[in-house]
Amino acid sequence: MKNQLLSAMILALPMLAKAQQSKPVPTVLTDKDGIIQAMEFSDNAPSPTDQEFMRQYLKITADDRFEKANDKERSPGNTDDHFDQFYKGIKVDGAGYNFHYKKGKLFYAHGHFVKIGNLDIVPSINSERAKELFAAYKQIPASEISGFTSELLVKEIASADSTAYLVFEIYLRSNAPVNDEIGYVNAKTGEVLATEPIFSHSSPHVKGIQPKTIQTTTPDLKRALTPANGNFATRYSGARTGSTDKDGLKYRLLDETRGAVIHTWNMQGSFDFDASVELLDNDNIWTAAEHAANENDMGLDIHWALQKIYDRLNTVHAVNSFNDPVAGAGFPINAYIRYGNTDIARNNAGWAAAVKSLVFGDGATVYRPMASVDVVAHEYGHGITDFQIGWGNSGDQGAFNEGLSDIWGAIMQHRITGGNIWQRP
Amino acid sequence: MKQLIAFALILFLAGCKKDKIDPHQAILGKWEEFYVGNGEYQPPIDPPTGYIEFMEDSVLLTHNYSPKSTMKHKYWIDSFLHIGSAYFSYEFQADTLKLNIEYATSILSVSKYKRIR
Ligand SMILES: [Zn+2]
Repeated sequence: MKNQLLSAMILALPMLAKAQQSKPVPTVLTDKDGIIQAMEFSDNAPSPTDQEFMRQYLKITADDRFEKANDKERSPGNTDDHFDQFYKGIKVDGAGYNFHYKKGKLFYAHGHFVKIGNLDIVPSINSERAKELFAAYKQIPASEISGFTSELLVKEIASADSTAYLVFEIYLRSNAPVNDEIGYVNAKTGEVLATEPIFSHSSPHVKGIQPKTIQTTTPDLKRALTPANGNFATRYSGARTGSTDKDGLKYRLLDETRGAVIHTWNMQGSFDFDASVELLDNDNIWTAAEHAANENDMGLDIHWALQKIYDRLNTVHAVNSFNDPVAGAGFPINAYIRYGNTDIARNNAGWAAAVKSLVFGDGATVYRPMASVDVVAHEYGHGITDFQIGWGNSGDQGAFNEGLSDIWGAIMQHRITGGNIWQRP
Repeated sequence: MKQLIAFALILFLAGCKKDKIDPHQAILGKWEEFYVGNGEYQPPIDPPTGYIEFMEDSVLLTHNYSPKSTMKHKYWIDSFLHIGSAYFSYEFQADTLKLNIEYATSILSVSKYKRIR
């Protein structure tokens, strides 16, 4: 009997498949409130335009508006559009929708649409008052505040069952104590509804406010005379060549030949980015004898690997740096070797999201320098994830973040140094 | 009965107050790093490679045993422990200081130190 049932099921399967083929149905993913999070349209099914999708499927009202923030043609006819969500003209934090087209036809739409019943969008306090209330909440004296920015937003508050509130988002600069949180102050009542650490926040308007330590250019040094090709005696990958440039009499690990500047710095054990120095060589032949002391040669591995990773993503996938801008230069790729002088900092490598930079320890105590291709690609991957998705480093986001970076590490090691490294030897 | 409740309440509150640690005070002194990892079991770092020393004037000295060297850093404490650009969440457990990296998405995130004389 069992066997008969099984064979009946097997017989039925091709019929099921056939039934699906003849009447294609879009695949839909919804959240607990029934709002569509993702929808896939098969090639032979009709698909709506973005505007139709918003009306038919998201059921937006006259209070809702989607504004195109980014559109990108990856190859002819294949485009990716991103829309930000606005409610009665106010931006809804973290909300928006993405539409992907193949040969002009929508095949995948996904995003986060916040359905708001009726929210009064006239604030009862002003941004100055919101700043004061946030400063009081953080116990920061007014005399220590060196500046602030604010934006009126609609934001879902996680601790209040994701209810949407009208809030002032406050970024406040203070010297003592240093403020490392963004405040969300209820624009009606003045209550501080939520705070978020600055390092895991990736809204574009916050990205503009970065600690002054970020080094996107090299103001202290004159512009390079000419880009050059350095010969690197790397620690882990043998003899390699990489772009450097000559400043005055010496060569440094700065590459300005690509779509994004790649710059490798030396922290010499400091935790302070202001203390970083250039790695320099007299003749652009970077030998182990000259650079292996203090593990400085790890900089050669990293500078070379960053160029290889950049090239793979740029030439094969037309992706420029972590942020992949629609136009213009990619976000500068800054790497800092010999970051820190404690065991945890030295035997470690990371993506420092607050300064959008890669940091690598010299190892030296427990491990060896953290500079192999897979480590560099893993951290580079965190940069991509930070810019493209904005995941933080704890909880589920942290777990997915690490998982993605491990995949980047394996792919890039495979592409750059060869070998199917995910297969057991 | 009322007095009893009041008395119990006073005891309870007093008990709470005693538990509160002032991190600015608690962190002062010398700490030897014996653990780096992600919270899982790891054998203690052996031999230890150095110790860190928090002074009252916001100065942190990091000492390495071999080769013998010392570096000076600036530190301060609010809801995090900041060492230059690095910042950590912190936890004091008896004679142990546990730090969790918050400044970076990093390979290892947890370090532990034991107090030394
Ligand atoms: Zn990682």
